[in-house]
Amino acid sequence: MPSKNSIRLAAGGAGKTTAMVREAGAASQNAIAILTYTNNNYDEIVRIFYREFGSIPSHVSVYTWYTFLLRECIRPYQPCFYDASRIESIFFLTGRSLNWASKANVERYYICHGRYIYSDKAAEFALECAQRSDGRWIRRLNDMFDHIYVDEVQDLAGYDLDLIDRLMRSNILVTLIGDVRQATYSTNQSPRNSQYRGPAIRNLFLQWKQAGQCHVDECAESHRCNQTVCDLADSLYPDMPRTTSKNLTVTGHDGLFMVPRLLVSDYVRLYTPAVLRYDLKTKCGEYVPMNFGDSKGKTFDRVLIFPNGPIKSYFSSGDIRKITSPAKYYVAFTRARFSLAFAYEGACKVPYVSQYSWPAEKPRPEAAS
Amino acid sequence: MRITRVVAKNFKVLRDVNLTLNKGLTILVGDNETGKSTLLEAIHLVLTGLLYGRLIANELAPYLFNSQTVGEYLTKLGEGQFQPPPYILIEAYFEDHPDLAKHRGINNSLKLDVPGVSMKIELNEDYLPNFREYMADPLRVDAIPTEYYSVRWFSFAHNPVTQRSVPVKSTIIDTYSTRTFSGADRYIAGIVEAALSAKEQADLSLAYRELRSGFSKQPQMEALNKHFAAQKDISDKKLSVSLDMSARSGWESNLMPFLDSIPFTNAGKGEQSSAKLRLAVQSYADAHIVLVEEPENHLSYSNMHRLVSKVAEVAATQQLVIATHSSFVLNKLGVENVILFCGNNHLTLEQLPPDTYNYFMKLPGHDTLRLILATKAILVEGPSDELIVQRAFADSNDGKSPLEMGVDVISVKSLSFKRFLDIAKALKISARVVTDNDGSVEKLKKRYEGYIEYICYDEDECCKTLEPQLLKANSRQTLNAVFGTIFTDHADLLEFMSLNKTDCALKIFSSQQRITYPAYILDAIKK
Repeated sequence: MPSKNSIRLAAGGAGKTTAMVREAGAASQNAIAILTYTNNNYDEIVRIFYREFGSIPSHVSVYTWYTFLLRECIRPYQPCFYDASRIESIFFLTGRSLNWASKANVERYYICHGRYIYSDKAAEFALECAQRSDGRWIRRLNDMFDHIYVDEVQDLAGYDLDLIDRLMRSNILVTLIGDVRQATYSTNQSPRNSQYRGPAIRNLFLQWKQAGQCHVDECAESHRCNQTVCDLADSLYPDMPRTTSKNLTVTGHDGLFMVPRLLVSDYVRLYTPAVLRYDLKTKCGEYVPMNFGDSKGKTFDRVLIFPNGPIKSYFSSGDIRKITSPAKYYVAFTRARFSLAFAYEGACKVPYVSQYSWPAEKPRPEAAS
Repeated sequence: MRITRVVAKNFKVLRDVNLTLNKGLTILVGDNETGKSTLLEAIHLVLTGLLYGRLIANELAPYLFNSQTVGEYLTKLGEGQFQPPPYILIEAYFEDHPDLAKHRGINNSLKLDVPGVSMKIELNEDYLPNFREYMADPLRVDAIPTEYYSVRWFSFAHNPVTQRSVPVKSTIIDTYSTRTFSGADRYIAGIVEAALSAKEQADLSLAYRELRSGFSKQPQMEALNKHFAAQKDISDKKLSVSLDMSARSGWESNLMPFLDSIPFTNAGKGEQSSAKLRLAVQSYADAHIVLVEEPENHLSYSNMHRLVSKVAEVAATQQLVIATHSSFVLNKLGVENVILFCGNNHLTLEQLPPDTYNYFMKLPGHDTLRLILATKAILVEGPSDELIVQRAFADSNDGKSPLEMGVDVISVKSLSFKRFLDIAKALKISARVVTDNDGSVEKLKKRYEGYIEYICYDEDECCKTLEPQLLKANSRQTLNAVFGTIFTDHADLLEFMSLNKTDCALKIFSSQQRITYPAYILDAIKK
């Protein structure tokens, strides 16, 4: 019997989120929760709901991952595990919380300042509540939701994955949506499940599939990027399936470009691309750039990237191994619909990257002369 | 969606109440000042966040805290014993329904896994240093510093709730004129709001704004403004007038309901109350509780009659809690829904032994109610005993009648003392039974086994009933004088008394002359 649960893996720009919103919004006989990790993607989901349905339909609740943990997985049965005070909020950490505290000391291990829970241990705490609730925990979720979607599932890590596993074993229909190539964030840095961190999360999905817990649909189509852009993004993951572009629109300035330093300001004026950079260490002159990670979920007609060291090395050598953790680069490359340009000059061994030069028919603006 | 249970701790007179509500009608019966109305306030507060129609956060004041709890806390503090500061807790437990799963959890004082909401008024930890400083000199402190307190309003899932998100709505109907609010009636405004969709409300709001803006553009208004503009001595700036277009002058607050073209607030209280009741029922359908406060207050008999008939009708489809101390209301609505409420003790008739319950089911509610409402009750066997006890009471209390002193002398037919004592025991009402020994003290003790401390009787088995007891306590001359008779023989006088029990009792009751009362009757009065 095919499993009720499914995992939908698709390339950047496949329209995963839009399809999910349409499906969830139309299924008005079901009570639905949509979970996602980043605030950006939360806003994007809400925006699409407003665009498609005028508002968020009453049968749908959209949560960020931690809000869901706190409101629906921790607080309702928190007294089963820790009854001293209400957990008011999440204490967000970029690394790991105290790891010398013994788990037996619930307060020291999980709780901070008496009323906050360490972000890396929130899911673990939720699972303890579930465990100790005599089935009441899952009964509540089951009464609340027929179907739970988790968007950007590749961001989940540590005990989050055990929680998903717990939900998949219940009567609730679970649909996980994501793109393992875009595993740029992690909900936490817990050592739990560290073998599935980043793009390796795909191995866990395949294990779940093997165990009959879900089926996996992989879609290698992009409605956003044209084929050349897809190919460059695909080159970041040589072991994964190739992407086919469904964007056949031709604008007259399509594909990959290297823009010499002197032409950058004219290029920006002419094409108004979104300016992206890896992080704030890359200087971008007078432009207002967006970091790669923050651009996730966004779509731009044209993108101009100010390259950092690894991109420059990749261009000059043609060796993809120069980019060691490709997730954020993949995100950045797949933002562009028509053209992806790099403010780079010099040797380029990456195929299909054209040298940008000023179009002969247009008068050269004075600034560049 | 019904409320199954209410818990209140330290809220005004309610120190610790845990009350189960009936599915349809619940009648709270009890004396004044026992907390019936406070319980209705508590239910309304936890469901709406409003106290007397205003947000509770703005209404925090020391008087909201149970004075006994606060007193004990301050005394202990004065003795150097530190304890957690007092808090108020009100919880409403809902029927367990999958649609309410969102509000389900075990964050309630009974740790039940049901949906519900809880409101806790407690010390805000951010103010702990200020609170400590304030409490540093306990002798100076005589009340709770509520400025350091905050209101926490959560579902049983421990997530914050708002007026809108609480799934069970509440309407409180009180007949006090002092509690109505300025401007349009809030209930009506709330109900109208609930009856319209968001879009309809937005449309109305727009239409209203256009109407006002149209008014401002009337030529007369322009003329008025021209006049103002010419007045240079009022201000250096240009002066003009226009209707208030700000949010607080929205259409809701300017809405005035009319009953037969009479403004609602000018209609009679009875009319208002039953109109509110009807509107409430129609607007909220299922998930709704109606709280009715003492319909007998401030209403004429016929208005009350009308309101109570309406209540009975509504209770068939709605959850309704009514507080009353009127036996009329109780009789009208049926004694089976009664919760006997007496401060922090309460019981439903179902909690009584089954035969007692069945007995009261057959009895009109009147006598039950008298017992509940009394601070002390003396139960007697018949009208002659009643008259003698009444008079004996007055003679022992400077001529004051029992009722003046809160004591009710109740004549209980068919010797059902035990039934009444069950209620008295449960509600901790002081009660005494005045009874004949009927010639066998042994039989009497057996009959009242377990209740004997309530029973006043005489040990002398020769004097079986009241009449020989009276004759034993008084000389023949005294009684002859009272009755206006001239019996010369004890036996004849006794026969006369036995044949004319009520007449004799009435004569004793209304006589100028005092007689001496049997000791067991005086015992019943004193204790």
